Amino acid sequence: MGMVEVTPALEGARQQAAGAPEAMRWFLREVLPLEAMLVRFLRQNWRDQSDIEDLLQDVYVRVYEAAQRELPERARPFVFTVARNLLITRMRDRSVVPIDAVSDLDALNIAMDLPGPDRAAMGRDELRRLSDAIDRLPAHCREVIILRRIENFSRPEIAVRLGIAETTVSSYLTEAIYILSNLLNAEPADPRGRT
Amino acid sequence: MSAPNAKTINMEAAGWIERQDQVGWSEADQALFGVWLNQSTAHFIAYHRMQDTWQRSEKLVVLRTRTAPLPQESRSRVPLAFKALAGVLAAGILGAGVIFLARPGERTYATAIGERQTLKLSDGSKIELNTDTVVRVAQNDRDVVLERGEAFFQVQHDSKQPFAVTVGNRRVTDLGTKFDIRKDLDRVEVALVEGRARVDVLDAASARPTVLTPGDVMIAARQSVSLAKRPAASVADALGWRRDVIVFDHTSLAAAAEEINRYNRRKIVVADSDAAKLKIGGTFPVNGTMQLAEVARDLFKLRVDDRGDEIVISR
Repeated sequence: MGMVEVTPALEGARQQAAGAPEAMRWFLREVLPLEAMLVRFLRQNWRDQSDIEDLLQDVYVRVYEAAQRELPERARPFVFTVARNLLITRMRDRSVVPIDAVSDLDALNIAMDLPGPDRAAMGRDELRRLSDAIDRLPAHCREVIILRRIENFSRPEIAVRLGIAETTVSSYLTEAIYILSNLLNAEPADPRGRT
Repeated sequence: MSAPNAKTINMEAAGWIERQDQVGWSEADQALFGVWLNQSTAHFIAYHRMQDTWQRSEKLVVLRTRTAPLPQESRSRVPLAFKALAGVLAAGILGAGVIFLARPGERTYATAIGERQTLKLSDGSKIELNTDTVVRVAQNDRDVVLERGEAFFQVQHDSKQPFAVTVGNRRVTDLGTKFDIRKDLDRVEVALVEGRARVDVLDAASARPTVLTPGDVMIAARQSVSLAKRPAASVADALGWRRDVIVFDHTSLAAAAEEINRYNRRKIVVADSDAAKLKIGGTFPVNGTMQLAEVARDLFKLRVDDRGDEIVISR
């Protein structure tokens, strides 16, 4: 007699940002696309480049906490004002650089009045951006993310193919996601955002 | 700056995304994740930023490049006597040669839309049922009828007791084999992956059997029977469903929609005849209906209307 083995139903729908609070949806839509410009601003105005990731996080926390109280009317001027204020505070704390060393926002040519980037209209640009980012990943990360995300293989299948442990597949994937998040956000999400 | 630093938090966030992508995410995992997520605003932001990256990377499917050259279908016509029977077979008229209709001891297995099942038979043979499929298995475990849908057969060969699959008015007999049979409304397709198999026409004594070798795909449609040789990569792509994916390669949007609709109750409708002809490629999860619609929208600047049961793509 035959035996029946039922394959478990496919994983349910992934958690969507749609389920996130309004402030987070606003953050993802309006603030995240500014990351490239924001990182450039921080780099230009802070000597120790190893602090940039921490500074970025601090800006994000301040912006997000403010947005939880009330959504800023326009994201761009708000984000850069927060960033500038943060840099000034940090410099004061360290008493290393005079305050006026922080670039004037106007001088940075940050187009305050332009509408925010429109993700829905990205299409082919987004694909080019994605494939560029994949190309720039370290080889071991590129390999696993391609097998997982493009070829849709499971972790056990990837482990067998590459002759590595499943836990190694997971750690490479984690690294790939981390680097990818920096690469994808390091480019302006919209051509209008380029300076 | 206070510890832990941003890189640590970002790596942790990426780690959560990675774990959520694994099979077997448990309630305990969810609880741990909840604690981490709500520990600080920085955690919450880092997680959503990583998730945004992960979702964006979903579109990567269309960048898939083939490892093998594009399929060159070398279609060869089948002998005339054979061809004459095609109409009969595709019309689904069951001849007297079909012997196992509701025999005692017979078991019926069925999968729902989107479901996949593996049957393990007593002799070690395996039958994998794709979406929306019905098979009947005789008591001896060696005679199978594919009523509807698609199944992949891995047969333990036994020359004394051959394994045979009846589909429409055709019988596929194993000669040491792995093969796939798909039965649509007006079409039967047999693809041979490994070994050999013989195909007989049940209700026509005059027709000679056809022997299939690896890469052979026999397609019997309403008015024709054809035998094509496909490269291994192409045959493997067609069997993507066994790992829950569908592979498209220069597939028209209409055909891609039809294929993914097999697996889902929520259907894609391509409402524009020009849009229907646009070509798409990529590996999609079988439940990736929305993903396919979104890729079409982004690639071709089409409109996507989510109407609940239907997702309508138009220009």
